[in-house]
Amino acid sequence: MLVNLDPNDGRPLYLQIMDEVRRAIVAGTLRAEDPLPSVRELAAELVVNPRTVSQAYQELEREGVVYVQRGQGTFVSPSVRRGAGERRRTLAREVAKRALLEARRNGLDAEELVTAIQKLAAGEVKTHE
Amino acid sequence: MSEAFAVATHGLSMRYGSEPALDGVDLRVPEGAVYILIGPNGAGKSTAMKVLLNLERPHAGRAEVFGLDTASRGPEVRAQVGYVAEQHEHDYGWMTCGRLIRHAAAYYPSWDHTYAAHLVDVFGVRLNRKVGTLSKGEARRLQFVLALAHRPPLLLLDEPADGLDPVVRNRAFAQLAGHLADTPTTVVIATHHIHEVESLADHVGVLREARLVAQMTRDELRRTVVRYRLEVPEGWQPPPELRTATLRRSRAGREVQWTLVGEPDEVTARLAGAGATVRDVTPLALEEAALAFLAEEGAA
Amino acid sequence: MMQGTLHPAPRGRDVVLEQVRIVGLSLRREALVAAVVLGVVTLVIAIDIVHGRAATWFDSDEWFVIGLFSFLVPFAVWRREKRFGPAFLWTLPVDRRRLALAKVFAGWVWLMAALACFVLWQLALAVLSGVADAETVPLVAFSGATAMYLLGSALVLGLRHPLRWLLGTAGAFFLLATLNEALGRAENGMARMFAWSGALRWAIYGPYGIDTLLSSRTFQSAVENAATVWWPVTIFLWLGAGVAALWAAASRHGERRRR
Repeated sequence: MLVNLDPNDGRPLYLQIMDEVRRAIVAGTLRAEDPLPSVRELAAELVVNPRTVSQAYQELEREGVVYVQRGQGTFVSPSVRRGAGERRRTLAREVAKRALLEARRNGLDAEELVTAIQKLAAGEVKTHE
Repeated sequence: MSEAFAVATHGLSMRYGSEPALDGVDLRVPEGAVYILIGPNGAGKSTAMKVLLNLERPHAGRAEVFGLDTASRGPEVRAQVGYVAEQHEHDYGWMTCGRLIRHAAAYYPSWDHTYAAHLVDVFGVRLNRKVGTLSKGEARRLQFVLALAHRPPLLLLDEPADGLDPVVRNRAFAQLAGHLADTPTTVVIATHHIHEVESLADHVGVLREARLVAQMTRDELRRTVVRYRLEVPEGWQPPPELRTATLRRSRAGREVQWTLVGEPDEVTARLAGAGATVRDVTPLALEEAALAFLAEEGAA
Repeated sequence: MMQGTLHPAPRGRDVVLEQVRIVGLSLRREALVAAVVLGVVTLVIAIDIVHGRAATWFDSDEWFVIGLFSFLVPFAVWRREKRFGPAFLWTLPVDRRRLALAKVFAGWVWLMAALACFVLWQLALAVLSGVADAETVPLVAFSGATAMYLLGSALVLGLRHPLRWLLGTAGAFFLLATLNEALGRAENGMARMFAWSGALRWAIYGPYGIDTLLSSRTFQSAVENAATVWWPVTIFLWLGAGVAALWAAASRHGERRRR
């Protein structure tokens, strides 16, 4: 599982890690019952405080995205396929939230942003035809 | 309910001649924290660590490590500490690295020989080289091995990245992250290379001109040290109650960029009440937030 | 809370043992030089023995050399160690005064070993040369050497620049002694001012002097009854002075306790 943390992202690191896990699940890189990297491995790879990784895993466990097997590690929940739609919606909402924040920062409002997105999406469809 | 502190100083003051290095510093490092002590050179970061090791005697105040008074129980305190000093030259230039590691091991009953061998591997320390012939980077890596091998409850790292190239730096901090996962450790890192340790930190202290101007958790810093982009009318004067919260201010025409400390909702309300339009509220990366504390106040 | 899981400090015995090992290691080069010198001397003596001139080697006293050697050994022991300032040595989890004394003890162990080798070497040569009544370094010189070692250690530990002090003091006394001689032993005020050199001479050659200390010469003195008292007192005085000076010097590096 490849995790990238954005240093310019103002959100707490554990939230970013959680998002990355959700992203991997939605993209299919992580499937049900797949093991997550150990706290130690991920902390060393990302050079983050292991407590941050633990916090992320614990929150994901609370949400039911992952479960912890004592002595074995952390695994993706078997119910993940069933909740795929929900997860996609959560992810989409997170992405939209960031986009909206960025837009506001530049003095744009939600309508302008939505219009721009729709135009771009339509343009993408055209190039793929 | 009082939190257990790994390091607590009370009114610590220290002078070198007429130059104050520490002035009434009250450090609070909770157990298990990764505390970054930020400050420009000569700000007293190294001095604070030396006081903790009882290498220096403060002119006023006292310090405690795990509740032990550093002045009267120096040896016990030092048994809990792994120290990477700022200077890299080692006293025992004539010894081989391997012999020096075995020498240090004799003083720490908690020395983990297997882990030491692993660290030698990870940091690429050549055991047959004489310590005096090591380059700056190699000497620093050896210091890491010596500091981590006995799994001390407290790590004091003084400019640990100094002298290491970027690849080795990343490896060193990655090893530190892994070390933290295995061993409950409190870490205090004194540095002005902030962004490398940013992801490890969960507590921050800013030392400016011998005083501790800020000390809080990383989350609190992220939440309260915020940059506001404002649109202000001509001749606008900032509200007086926010002046003390000012860290940095720059102005271009009718737009003002202001870094302030405080709860964002409250600050936004005050600004709006004073007639400014808040266009943008940006949380800052650790390095930027720390720099804001170090900049001259009220710079226009 | 941490209290229950605090790491222990090392045992005193382990610290001393490690210091003995490391001091021995640090003195390897000096030991090699000494061995070479001894080898050369052995060769010269051997030649003399063959030519029948052996006797000349066995009626002189090496006490001065041994005394000087013991006084200078601390310089070698501490040469590779940064005594002042934030040294690695002082970051170790050991009481600093005790650690300094442990190192001094380690050096003493090796000094005694070196002296023992020297005595054996002398005896071997004496036996081989067949010289009758060969005078070798009396065993009692070991205590004298210890006293000189303690004083040297106190000097090195207590002062940042012991060599400067040493050369400076020696130079001053030499100057004063020369002036004293030049002015003659007249009973004028000037001559009495330079009596300091006389004090130094007394310290070395007097009844309680270093000469007595190292050679227990008084046992060989003509006036047996009166003289035998000198040596034990001398040893007591010099060892006491050495221990006191060393303690003061080591305390200079001690833990900085509450003011």
